[in-house]
Amino acid sequence: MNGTSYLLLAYYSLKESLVYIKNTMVFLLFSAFGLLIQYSAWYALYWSVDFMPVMGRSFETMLSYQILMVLIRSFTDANGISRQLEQRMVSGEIALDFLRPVAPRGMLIARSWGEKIFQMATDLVVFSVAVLAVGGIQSPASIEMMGLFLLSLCLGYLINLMFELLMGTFAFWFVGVNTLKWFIDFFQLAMSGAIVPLWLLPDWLQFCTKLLPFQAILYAPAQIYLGGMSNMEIVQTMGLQVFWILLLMGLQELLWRRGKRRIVVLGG
Amino acid sequence: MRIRNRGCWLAGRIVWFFQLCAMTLSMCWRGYISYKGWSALVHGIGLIIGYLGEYVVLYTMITNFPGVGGFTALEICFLYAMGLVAYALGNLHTREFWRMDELVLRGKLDLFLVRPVSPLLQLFVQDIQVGYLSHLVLGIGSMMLIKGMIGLSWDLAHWALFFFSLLAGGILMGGISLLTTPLTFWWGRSDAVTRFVRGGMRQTLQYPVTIYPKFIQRLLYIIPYAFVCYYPCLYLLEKDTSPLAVLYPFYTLLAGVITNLAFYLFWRLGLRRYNSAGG
Repeated sequence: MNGTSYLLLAYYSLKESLVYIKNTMVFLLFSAFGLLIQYSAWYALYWSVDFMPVMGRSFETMLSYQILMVLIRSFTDANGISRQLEQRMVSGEIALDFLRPVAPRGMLIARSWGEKIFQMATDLVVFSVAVLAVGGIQSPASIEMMGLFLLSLCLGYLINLMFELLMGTFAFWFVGVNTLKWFIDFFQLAMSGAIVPLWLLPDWLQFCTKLLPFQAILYAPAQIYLGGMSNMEIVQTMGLQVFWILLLMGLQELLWRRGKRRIVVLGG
Repeated sequence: MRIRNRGCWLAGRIVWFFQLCAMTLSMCWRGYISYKGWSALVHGIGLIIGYLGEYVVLYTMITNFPGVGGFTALEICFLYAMGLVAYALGNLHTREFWRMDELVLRGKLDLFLVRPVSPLLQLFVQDIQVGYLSHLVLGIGSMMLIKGMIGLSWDLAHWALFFFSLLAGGILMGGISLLTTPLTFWWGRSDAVTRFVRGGMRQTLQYPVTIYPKFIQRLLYIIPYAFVCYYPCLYLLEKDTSPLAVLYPFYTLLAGVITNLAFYLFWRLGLRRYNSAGG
Protein backbone atom coordinates (compact mmCIF):
# COMPACT_ATOMS: atom_id res chain seq x y z
CA MET A 1 0.00 0.00 0.00
CA ASN A 2 1.17 3.52 -0.70
CA GLY A 3 0.32 7.07 0.16
CA THR A 4 -2.76 6.98 -2.08
CA SER A 5 -4.55 4.80 0.47
CA TYR A 6 -4.03 7.40 3.15
CA LEU A 7 -5.15 10.16 0.80
CA LEU A 8 -8.30 8.21 0.02
CA LEU A 9 -9.00 7.70 3.72
CA ALA A 10 -8.61 11.44 4.30
CA TYR A 11 -10.86 12.16 1.31
CA TYR A 12 -13.66 9.89 2.53
CA SER A 13 -13.39 11.33 6.02
CA LEU A 14 -13.74 14.82 4.52
CA LYS A 15 -16.80 13.73 2.51
CA GLU A 16 -18.30 12.27 5.66
CA SER A 17 -17.85 15.60 7.43
CA LEU A 18 -19.57 17.45 4.59
CA VAL A 19 -22.71 15.28 4.51
CA TYR A 20 -24.50 17.12 7.27
CA ILE A 21 -24.37 20.73 6.16
CA LYS A 22 -26.45 21.99 9.11
CA ASN A 23 -23.76 20.68 11.41
CA THR A 24 -21.21 22.63 9.38
CA MET A 25 -23.09 25.84 9.97
CA VAL A 26 -23.30 25.15 13.67
CA PHE A 27 -19.56 24.50 13.85
CA LEU A 28 -19.07 27.95 12.34
CA LEU A 29 -21.39 29.41 14.93
CA PHE A 30 -19.64 27.50 17.69
CA SER A 31 -16.27 28.92 16.74
CA ALA A 32 -17.55 32.48 16.22
CA PHE A 33 -19.46 32.44 19.48
CA GLY A 34 -16.41 31.31 21.43
CA LEU A 35 -14.40 34.15 19.96
CA LEU A 36 -17.12 36.65 20.77
CA ILE A 37 -17.22 35.49 24.39
CA GLN A 38 -13.45 35.92 24.59
CA TYR A 39 -13.69 39.36 23.01
CA SER A 40 -16.39 40.44 25.47
CA ALA A 41 -14.34 39.26 28.44
CA TRP A 42 -11.16 41.02 27.27
CA TYR A 43 -13.08 44.16 26.39
CA ALA A 44 -14.61 44.25 29.88
CA LEU A 45 -11.22 43.59 31.51
CA TYR A 46 -9.40 46.29 29.52
CA TRP A 47 -12.33 48.66 30.02
CA SER A 48 -11.70 48.39 33.76
CA VAL A 49 -8.19 49.84 33.21
CA ASP A 50 -9.27 52.45 30.62
CA PHE A 51 -7.66 50.40 27.84
CA MET A 52 -4.18 51.00 29.20
CA PRO A 53 -1.57 48.31 28.37
CA VAL A 54 -1.42 45.44 30.87
CA MET A 55 1.92 43.63 31.32
CA GLY A 56 3.17 45.68 28.39
CA ARG A 57 0.50 44.42 26.01
CA SER A 58 -2.19 46.67 24.55
CA PHE A 59 -5.79 45.72 23.92
CA GLU A 60 -5.01 45.52 20.18
CA THR A 61 -2.21 42.99 20.79
CA MET A 62 -4.58 40.96 22.97
CA LEU A 63 -7.20 41.00 20.21
CA SER A 64 -4.62 39.92 17.61
CA TYR A 65 -3.57 37.09 19.93
CA GLN A 66 -7.12 35.85 20.44
CA ILE A 67 -8.02 35.98 16.74
CA LEU A 68 -4.76 34.35 15.71
CA MET A 69 -5.45 31.61 18.25
CA VAL A 70 -8.48 30.53 16.17
CA LEU A 71 -6.15 29.58 13.32
CA ILE A 72 -3.42 28.13 15.50
CA ARG A 73 -5.84 25.94 17.46
CA SER A 74 -7.45 24.79 14.26
CA PHE A 75 -4.17 23.83 12.63
CA THR A 76 -2.60 22.15 15.64
CA ASP A 77 -5.73 20.19 16.53
CA ALA A 78 -5.24 16.44 16.17
CA ASN A 79 -8.99 15.88 15.82
CA GLY A 80 -9.73 13.39 18.52
CA ILE A 81 -7.35 10.63 17.47
CA SER A 82 -7.28 9.35 21.07
CA ARG A 83 -11.08 9.20 21.12
CA GLN A 84 -11.12 7.21 17.87
CA LEU A 85 -8.49 4.85 19.15
CA GLU A 86 -10.48 4.33 22.33
CA GLN A 87 -13.65 3.57 20.37
CA ARG A 88 -11.82 1.01 18.25
CA MET A 89 -10.42 -0.54 21.38
CA VAL A 90 -13.83 -0.77 23.07
CA SER A 91 -15.53 -2.23 19.97
CA GLY A 92 -12.64 -4.60 19.24
CA GLU A 93 -12.13 -3.09 15.77
CA ILE A 94 -8.51 -2.48 16.68
CA ALA A 95 -7.80 -6.19 16.11
CA LEU A 96 -9.05 -5.84 12.52
CA ASP A 97 -6.98 -2.68 12.08
CA PHE A 98 -3.83 -4.67 12.72
CA LEU A 99 -4.80 -7.05 9.91
CA ARG A 100 -5.33 -4.29 7.36
CA PRO A 101 -2.62 -3.40 4.84
CA VAL A 102 -2.44 0.16 6.22
CA ALA A 103 -0.82 1.02 9.54
CA PRO A 104 -3.48 1.63 12.24
CA ARG A 105 -1.92 4.87 13.38
CA GLY A 106 -1.44 6.08 9.81
CA MET A 107 -5.09 5.33 9.13
CA LEU A 108 -6.19 7.38 12.14
CA ILE A 109 -3.99 10.30 11.16
CA ALA A 110 -5.25 10.21 7.56
CA ARG A 111 -8.87 10.18 8.71
CA SER A 112 -8.20 13.02 11.11
CA TRP A 113 -6.79 15.10 8.24
CA GLY A 114 -10.06 14.71 6.37
CA GLU A 115 -11.92 16.19 9.31
CA LYS A 116 -9.15 18.72 9.82
CA ILE A 117 -9.41 20.20 6.34
CA PHE A 118 -13.11 20.70 6.88
CA GLN A 119 -12.57 22.24 10.30
CA MET A 120 -9.79 24.52 9.09
CA ALA A 121 -11.99 25.80 6.27
CA THR A 122 -14.74 26.74 8.73
CA ASP A 123 -12.26 28.29 11.15
CA LEU A 124 -10.71 30.27 8.31
CA VAL A 125 -14.12 31.82 7.64
CA VAL A 126 -14.43 32.78 11.32
CA PHE A 127 -10.88 34.12 11.33
CA SER A 128 -11.46 36.24 8.22
CA VAL A 129 -14.74 37.65 9.51
CA ALA A 130 -13.12 38.47 12.86
CA VAL A 131 -10.15 40.18 11.18
CA LEU A 132 -12.51 42.27 9.07
CA ALA A 133 -14.71 43.07 12.08
CA VAL A 134 -11.84 44.47 14.16
CA GLY A 135 -10.23 46.20 11.18
CA GLY A 136 -7.17 43.97 10.84
CA ILE A 137 -4.73 42.34 13.23
CA GLN A 138 -1.05 42.86 13.94
CA SER A 139 1.29 41.50 11.20
CA PRO A 140 4.54 39.64 11.80
CA ALA A 141 7.68 41.79 11.84
CA SER A 142 9.08 40.32 8.60
CA ILE A 143 8.70 37.57 6.01
CA GLU A 144 11.33 35.55 7.90
CA MET A 145 9.24 35.79 11.07
CA MET A 146 6.23 34.59 9.12
CA GLY A 147 8.27 31.61 7.93
CA LEU A 148 9.43 30.85 11.46
CA PHE A 149 5.85 31.16 12.68
CA LEU A 150 4.68 28.60 10.10
CA LEU A 151 7.51 26.25 11.01
CA SER A 152 6.73 26.56 14.70
CA LEU A 153 3.05 25.94 13.90
CA CYS A 154 3.92 22.65 12.17
CA LEU A 155 6.07 21.62 15.13
CA GLY A 156 3.15 22.50 17.44
CA TYR A 157 0.90 20.23 15.41
CA LEU A 158 3.38 17.37 15.67
CA ILE A 159 3.58 17.74 19.46
CA ASN A 160 -0.20 17.64 19.73
CA LEU A 161 -0.39 14.68 17.36
CA MET A 162 2.14 12.72 19.40
CA PHE A 163 0.32 13.66 22.57
CA GLU A 164 -3.05 12.51 21.17
CA LEU A 165 -1.52 9.22 20.03
CA LEU A 166 0.07 8.76 23.44
CA MET A 167 -3.26 9.35 25.17
CA GLY A 168 -4.95 6.93 22.79
CA THR A 169 -2.31 4.31 23.51
CA PHE A 170 -3.33 4.32 27.18
CA ALA A 171 -6.56 2.66 25.99
CA PHE A 172 -4.58 -0.61 25.82
CA TRP A 173 -4.51 -0.46 29.62
CA PHE A 174 -7.46 1.68 30.74
CA VAL A 175 -9.91 1.03 27.82
CA GLY A 176 -11.76 4.27 28.59
CA VAL A 177 -9.29 7.10 27.94
CA ASN A 178 -11.84 9.63 26.83
CA THR A 179 -12.33 10.82 30.37
CA LEU A 180 -8.59 11.01 30.97
CA LYS A 181 -8.18 12.97 27.75
CA TRP A 182 -11.08 15.17 28.72
CA PHE A 183 -9.46 16.43 31.89
CA ILE A 184 -6.12 16.83 30.15
CA ASP A 185 -7.92 18.93 27.56
CA PHE A 186 -9.08 21.18 30.38
CA PHE A 187 -5.61 21.39 31.77
CA GLN A 188 -4.21 21.97 28.29
CA LEU A 189 -6.69 24.75 27.69
CA ALA A 190 -5.49 26.51 30.82
CA MET A 191 -1.76 25.88 30.43
CA SER A 192 -1.29 26.28 26.68
CA GLY A 193 -2.30 29.90 26.38
CA ALA A 194 -5.40 28.98 24.38
CA ILE A 195 -7.63 31.20 26.45
CA VAL A 196 -5.30 33.26 28.59
CA PRO A 197 -1.97 34.47 27.16
CA LEU A 198 0.76 33.15 29.41
CA TRP A 199 2.34 36.61 29.80
CA LEU A 200 -0.55 37.43 32.16
CA LEU A 201 0.34 34.60 34.52
CA PRO A 202 2.67 35.06 37.49
CA ASP A 203 6.29 33.96 37.08
CA TRP A 204 5.91 30.72 39.07
CA LEU A 205 3.00 29.64 36.89
CA GLN A 206 4.82 30.59 33.70
CA PHE A 207 7.68 28.42 34.91
CA CYS A 208 5.25 25.51 35.48
CA THR A 209 3.86 25.86 31.96
CA LYS A 210 7.39 25.64 30.56
CA LEU A 211 7.74 22.19 32.11
CA LEU A 212 4.72 20.96 30.14
CA PRO A 213 4.43 20.44 26.38
CA PHE A 214 1.18 22.40 26.03
CA GLN A 215 2.63 25.90 25.73
CA ALA A 216 4.88 24.67 22.89
CA ILE A 217 1.75 23.76 20.91
CA LEU A 218 -0.13 27.05 20.89
CA TYR A 219 1.63 29.82 22.77
CA ALA A 220 5.04 29.45 21.11
CA PRO A 221 3.82 30.03 17.51
CA ALA A 222 1.61 32.92 18.63
CA GLN A 223 4.52 34.62 20.42
CA ILE A 224 6.75 34.25 17.35
CA TYR A 225 4.04 35.79 15.16
CA LEU A 226 3.46 38.73 17.52
CA GLY A 227 7.18 39.43 17.85
CA GLY A 228 7.26 38.61 21.55
CA MET A 229 10.55 36.69 21.29
CA SER A 230 14.14 37.55 20.44
CA ASN A 231 16.02 35.48 17.82
CA MET A 232 17.76 33.50 20.56
CA GLU A 233 14.44 32.78 22.28
CA ILE A 234 12.97 31.60 18.98
CA VAL A 235 15.82 29.12 18.51
CA GLN A 236 15.41 27.89 22.09
CA THR A 237 11.65 27.57 21.69
CA MET A 238 11.92 25.58 18.49
CA GLY A 239 14.57 23.36 20.08
CA LEU A 240 12.14 22.74 22.92
CA GLN A 241 9.40 21.90 20.42
CA VAL A 242 11.63 19.33 18.73
CA PHE A 243 12.56 17.91 22.15
CA TRP A 244 8.88 17.40 23.04
CA ILE A 245 8.16 15.75 19.68
CA LEU A 246 11.02 13.28 20.12
CA LEU A 247 10.17 12.55 23.75
CA LEU A 248 6.48 11.98 23.12
CA MET A 249 7.17 9.98 19.96
CA GLY A 250 9.59 7.69 21.79
CA LEU A 251 7.24 7.23 24.73
CA GLN A 252 4.32 6.55 22.44
CA GLU A 253 6.22 4.00 20.39
CA LEU A 254 7.34 2.18 23.52
CA LEU A 255 3.84 2.01 24.97
CA TRP A 256 2.32 1.08 21.59
CA ARG A 257 4.61 -1.95 21.28
CA ARG A 258 3.86 -3.07 24.81
CA GLY A 259 0.14 -2.34 24.46
CA LYS A 260 -0.22 -4.42 21.29
CA ARG A 261 0.63 -7.52 23.30
CA ARG A 262 -2.29 -6.86 25.64
CA ILE A 263 -5.03 -7.04 23.01
CA VAL A 264 -7.69 -9.59 23.85
CA VAL A 265 -10.70 -9.72 21.54
CA LEU A 266 -13.77 -11.48 22.82
CA GLY A 267 -16.50 -12.92 20.61
CA GLY A 268 -16.22 -14.11 17.05
CA MET B 1 -63.04 6.54 46.08
CA ARG B 2 -61.77 7.02 42.53
CA ILE B 3 -59.66 9.99 43.62
CA ARG B 4 -58.23 7.92 46.47
CA ASN B 5 -57.37 5.08 44.11
CA ARG B 6 -55.76 7.53 41.75
CA GLY B 7 -53.77 9.00 44.63
CA CYS B 8 -52.55 5.53 45.63
CA TRP B 9 -51.59 4.77 42.04
CA LEU B 10 -49.64 8.02 41.76
CA ALA B 11 -47.86 7.41 45.08
CA GLY B 12 -47.01 3.90 43.92
CA ARG B 13 -45.56 5.26 40.68
CA ILE B 14 -43.45 7.82 42.53
CA VAL B 15 -42.09 5.17 44.90
CA TRP B 16 -41.41 2.91 41.93
CA PHE B 17 -39.59 5.73 40.12
CA PHE B 18 -37.28 6.35 43.05
CA GLN B 19 -36.66 2.63 43.46
CA LEU B 20 -35.71 2.48 39.79
CA CYS B 21 -33.39 5.47 40.22
CA ALA B 22 -31.73 3.93 43.27
CA MET B 23 -31.29 0.60 41.49
CA THR B 24 -29.79 2.22 38.40
CA LEU B 25 -27.56 4.45 40.46
CA SER B 26 -26.26 1.42 42.32
CA MET B 27 -25.70 -0.40 39.01
CA CYS B 28 -23.92 2.58 37.47
CA TRP B 29 -21.71 3.01 40.53
CA ARG B 30 -20.73 -0.67 40.55
CA GLY B 31 -20.20 -0.59 36.80
CA TYR B 32 -18.13 2.58 37.09
CA ILE B 33 -15.88 1.11 39.77
CA SER B 34 -15.57 -2.45 38.47
CA TYR B 35 -15.42 -1.82 34.70
CA LYS B 36 -13.25 1.24 34.70
CA GLY B 37 -11.27 0.22 37.79
CA TRP B 38 -8.22 2.39 38.12
CA SER B 39 -9.36 4.70 35.36
CA ALA B 40 -12.32 5.71 37.56
CA LEU B 41 -9.92 6.91 40.22
CA VAL B 42 -7.62 8.51 37.66
CA HIS B 43 -10.64 10.23 36.17
CA GLY B 44 -11.81 11.61 39.51
CA ILE B 45 -8.41 12.91 40.52
CA GLY B 46 -7.67 14.10 37.00
CA LEU B 47 -10.83 16.14 36.81
CA ILE B 48 -10.04 17.87 40.06
CA ILE B 49 -6.49 18.67 38.89
CA GLY B 50 -7.75 19.87 35.50
CA TYR B 51 -10.34 22.18 37.01
CA LEU B 52 -7.91 23.43 39.65
CA GLY B 53 -5.63 24.44 36.78
CA GLU B 54 -8.49 26.42 35.27
CA TYR B 55 -9.23 28.10 38.60
CA VAL B 56 -5.63 29.14 39.08
CA VAL B 57 -5.35 30.53 35.56
CA LEU B 58 -8.69 32.34 35.75
CA TYR B 59 -7.85 33.83 39.14
CA THR B 60 -4.33 34.92 38.29
CA MET B 61 -5.45 36.37 34.96
CA ILE B 62 -8.16 38.54 36.52
CA THR B 63 -5.91 39.73 39.33
CA ASN B 64 -4.05 41.75 36.65
CA PHE B 65 -7.20 43.85 36.40
CA PRO B 66 -9.47 45.54 38.99
CA GLY B 67 -12.32 43.22 38.03
CA VAL B 68 -14.77 42.29 35.33
CA GLY B 69 -18.38 43.43 35.17
CA GLY B 70 -18.26 44.49 38.82
CA PHE B 71 -16.97 41.11 40.01
CA THR B 72 -13.54 40.62 41.57
CA ALA B 73 -11.26 37.68 40.71
CA LEU B 74 -12.49 35.66 43.71
CA GLU B 75 -16.12 36.36 42.87
CA ILE B 76 -15.52 35.21 39.29
CA CYS B 77 -14.10 31.97 40.68
CA PHE B 78 -17.25 31.58 42.80
CA LEU B 79 -19.37 32.11 39.69
CA TYR B 80 -17.27 29.54 37.85
CA ALA B 81 -17.60 27.00 40.65
CA MET B 82 -21.33 27.44 40.78
CA GLY B 83 -21.52 26.84 37.04
CA LEU B 84 -19.47 23.69 37.53
CA VAL B 85 -21.84 22.32 40.17
CA ALA B 86 -24.91 23.19 38.11
CA TYR B 87 -23.36 21.51 35.08
CA ALA B 88 -22.55 18.34 37.03
CA LEU B 89 -25.99 18.14 38.67
CA GLY B 90 -27.74 18.89 35.40
CA ASN B 91 -25.86 16.27 33.43
CA LEU B 92 -25.96 13.38 35.89
CA HIS B 93 -28.83 11.84 33.95
CA THR B 94 -28.49 13.28 30.45
CA ARG B 95 -25.47 11.40 29.09
CA GLU B 96 -27.55 8.94 27.09
CA PHE B 97 -28.99 11.87 25.16
CA TRP B 98 -25.47 12.87 24.08
CA ARG B 99 -25.59 9.99 21.63
CA MET B 100 -29.07 10.82 20.41
CA ASP B 101 -27.88 10.89 16.79
CA GLU B 102 -26.72 7.31 17.02
CA LEU B 103 -29.92 6.20 18.76
CA VAL B 104 -32.09 7.70 16.04
CA LEU B 105 -29.96 7.11 12.94
CA ARG B 106 -29.25 3.48 13.76
CA GLY B 107 -32.71 2.77 15.11
CA LYS B 108 -31.39 1.96 18.57
CA LEU B 109 -34.17 4.00 20.11
CA ASP B 110 -36.50 1.08 19.30
CA LEU B 111 -35.09 -0.76 22.25
CA PHE B 112 -36.40 1.94 24.58
CA LEU B 113 -39.75 2.23 22.84
CA VAL B 114 -40.80 -1.40 23.08
CA ARG B 115 -40.31 -1.68 26.84
CA PRO B 116 -43.29 -1.05 29.14
CA VAL B 117 -41.62 1.97 30.76
CA SER B 118 -41.52 5.54 29.48
CA PRO B 119 -38.59 5.84 27.00
CA LEU B 120 -37.66 9.18 28.49
CA LEU B 121 -37.39 7.67 31.93
CA GLN B 122 -35.28 4.80 30.63
CA LEU B 123 -32.94 7.21 28.87
CA PHE B 124 -32.58 9.26 32.05
CA VAL B 125 -31.51 6.29 34.14
CA GLN B 126 -29.60 4.43 31.43
CA ASP B 127 -26.25 6.04 32.11
CA ILE B 128 -26.11 8.00 35.35
CA GLN B 129 -22.78 9.77 35.53
CA VAL B 130 -21.46 9.01 38.98
CA GLY B 131 -18.14 10.42 37.81
CA TYR B 132 -19.56 13.92 38.23
CA LEU B 133 -19.12 13.45 41.95
CA SER B 134 -15.66 14.98 41.60
CA HIS B 135 -17.22 18.11 40.02
CA LEU B 136 -19.54 18.41 42.98
CA VAL B 137 -16.79 17.92 45.56
CA LEU B 138 -14.53 20.44 43.85
CA GLY B 139 -17.30 22.95 43.06
CA ILE B 140 -18.93 23.00 46.49
CA GLY B 141 -15.57 22.80 48.28
CA SER B 142 -14.14 25.74 46.38
CA MET B 143 -17.29 27.80 46.88
CA MET B 144 -17.00 27.29 50.64
CA LEU B 145 -13.35 28.28 50.50
CA ILE B 146 -13.98 31.36 48.37
CA LYS B 147 -16.87 32.42 50.59
CA GLY B 148 -14.47 32.42 53.54
CA MET B 149 -11.81 34.32 51.58
CA ILE B 150 -14.28 37.00 50.51
CA GLY B 151 -15.46 37.26 54.13
CA LEU B 152 -19.17 36.81 53.54
CA SER B 153 -21.24 36.04 56.61
CA TRP B 154 -24.37 34.18 55.68
CA ASP B 155 -27.43 33.67 57.85
CA LEU B 156 -29.62 30.58 57.73
CA ALA B 157 -31.68 31.97 54.83
CA HIS B 158 -28.52 32.50 52.77
CA TRP B 159 -27.37 28.95 53.42
CA ALA B 160 -30.77 27.53 52.55
CA LEU B 161 -30.91 29.58 49.37
CA PHE B 162 -27.35 28.62 48.52
CA PHE B 163 -28.24 24.92 48.40
CA PHE B 164 -31.56 25.73 46.78
CA SER B 165 -29.71 27.70 44.06
CA LEU B 166 -27.40 24.77 43.37
CA LEU B 167 -30.34 22.40 42.96
CA ALA B 168 -32.33 24.86 40.87
CA GLY B 169 -29.24 25.54 38.73
CA GLY B 170 -28.87 21.79 38.23
CA ILE B 171 -32.48 21.43 37.13
CA LEU B 172 -32.08 24.34 34.73
CA MET B 173 -28.77 23.09 33.36
CA GLY B 174 -30.31 19.66 32.79
CA GLY B 175 -33.14 21.25 30.80
CA ILE B 176 -30.70 23.31 28.74
CA SER B 177 -28.55 20.25 27.95
CA LEU B 178 -31.60 18.36 26.74
CA LEU B 179 -33.44 21.17 25.01
CA THR B 180 -32.05 20.72 21.52
CA THR B 181 -31.59 16.93 21.49
CA PRO B 182 -35.01 16.22 19.87
CA LEU B 183 -33.82 18.13 16.78
CA THR B 184 -32.30 14.79 15.73
CA PHE B 185 -35.79 13.60 14.84
CA TRP B 186 -35.94 16.27 12.13
CA TRP B 187 -32.31 16.77 11.10
CA GLY B 188 -30.87 13.30 11.49
CA ARG B 189 -27.95 14.79 13.38
CA SER B 190 -28.05 17.45 16.03
CA ASP B 191 -24.86 16.84 17.96
CA ALA B 192 -23.30 20.11 16.80
CA VAL B 193 -26.28 22.20 17.95
CA THR B 194 -26.48 20.30 21.21
CA ARG B 195 -22.77 20.66 21.79
CA PHE B 196 -23.02 24.35 21.04
CA VAL B 197 -25.88 24.86 23.47
CA ARG B 198 -24.47 22.56 26.16
CA GLY B 199 -20.75 23.27 25.75
CA GLY B 200 -20.19 26.41 23.67
CA MET B 201 -22.73 28.58 25.42
CA ARG B 202 -21.64 27.20 28.77
CA GLN B 203 -18.54 29.40 28.50
CA THR B 204 -20.80 32.36 29.25
CA LEU B 205 -21.32 31.05 32.79
CA GLN B 206 -17.90 32.13 33.99
CA TYR B 207 -18.44 35.86 33.57
CA PRO B 208 -21.27 38.21 34.58
CA VAL B 209 -24.00 38.37 31.94
CA THR B 210 -23.69 42.16 31.75
CA ILE B 211 -20.29 42.08 30.00
CA TYR B 212 -21.69 40.51 26.83
CA PRO B 213 -23.11 42.42 23.86
CA LYS B 214 -26.85 42.98 23.96
CA PHE B 215 -27.73 40.26 21.45
CA ILE B 216 -25.80 37.65 23.42
CA GLN B 217 -27.49 38.81 26.60
CA ARG B 218 -30.87 38.31 24.91
CA LEU B 219 -29.79 34.85 23.78
CA LEU B 220 -28.82 34.03 27.36
CA TYR B 221 -32.36 34.78 28.46
CA ILE B 222 -33.90 32.70 25.66
CA ILE B 223 -31.64 29.74 26.39
CA PRO B 224 -31.61 30.77 30.00
CA TYR B 225 -27.97 30.49 30.97
CA ALA B 226 -28.32 33.91 32.64
CA PHE B 227 -30.30 32.26 35.43
CA VAL B 228 -28.00 29.29 36.06
CA CYS B 229 -25.60 31.11 38.34
CA TYR B 230 -25.41 34.84 37.59
CA TYR B 231 -28.70 35.78 39.25
CA PRO B 232 -28.30 33.51 42.29
CA CYS B 233 -24.77 34.90 42.70
CA LEU B 234 -26.06 38.46 42.73
CA TYR B 235 -27.91 37.49 45.89
CA LEU B 236 -25.39 35.11 47.41
CA LEU B 237 -22.39 37.41 46.88
CA GLU B 238 -24.50 40.37 48.03
CA LYS B 239 -24.01 42.21 44.76
CA ASP B 240 -27.65 43.18 44.82
CA THR B 241 -28.88 44.09 48.28
CA SER B 242 -32.41 45.05 47.33
CA PRO B 243 -35.18 43.10 49.12
CA LEU B 244 -36.23 41.55 45.81
CA ALA B 245 -32.80 39.94 45.35
CA VAL B 246 -33.93 37.08 47.57
CA LEU B 247 -36.20 36.02 44.71
CA TYR B 248 -33.32 35.41 42.28
CA PRO B 249 -32.79 31.74 43.19
CA PHE B 250 -36.51 31.21 42.57
CA TYR B 251 -36.13 32.72 39.09
CA THR B 252 -33.60 29.96 38.46
CA LEU B 253 -36.07 27.29 39.50
CA LEU B 254 -38.82 28.85 37.38
CA ALA B 255 -36.52 28.97 34.35
CA GLY B 256 -35.58 25.34 35.05
CA VAL B 257 -39.19 24.18 35.13
CA ILE B 258 -40.01 26.06 31.91
CA THR B 259 -36.93 24.73 30.11
CA ASN B 260 -37.60 21.12 31.12
CA LEU B 261 -41.23 21.47 30.11
CA ALA B 262 -40.21 22.89 26.73
CA PHE B 263 -37.89 19.93 26.24
CA TYR B 264 -40.66 17.49 27.14
CA LEU B 265 -43.08 18.98 24.61
CA PHE B 266 -40.37 19.11 21.95
CA TRP B 267 -39.48 15.50 22.67
CA ARG B 268 -43.10 14.35 22.36
CA LEU B 269 -43.39 16.19 19.06
CA GLY B 270 -40.18 14.67 17.75
CA LEU B 271 -41.03 11.16 18.84
CA ARG B 272 -44.10 11.24 16.57
CA ARG B 273 -41.78 11.71 13.61
CA TYR B 274 -39.48 8.87 14.55
CA ASN B 275 -39.24 6.02 12.09
CA SER B 276 -36.91 3.22 13.02
CA ALA B 277 -33.83 3.14 10.81
CA GLY B 278 -32.46 -0.17 11.96
CA GLY B 279 -32.83 -3.48 10.23
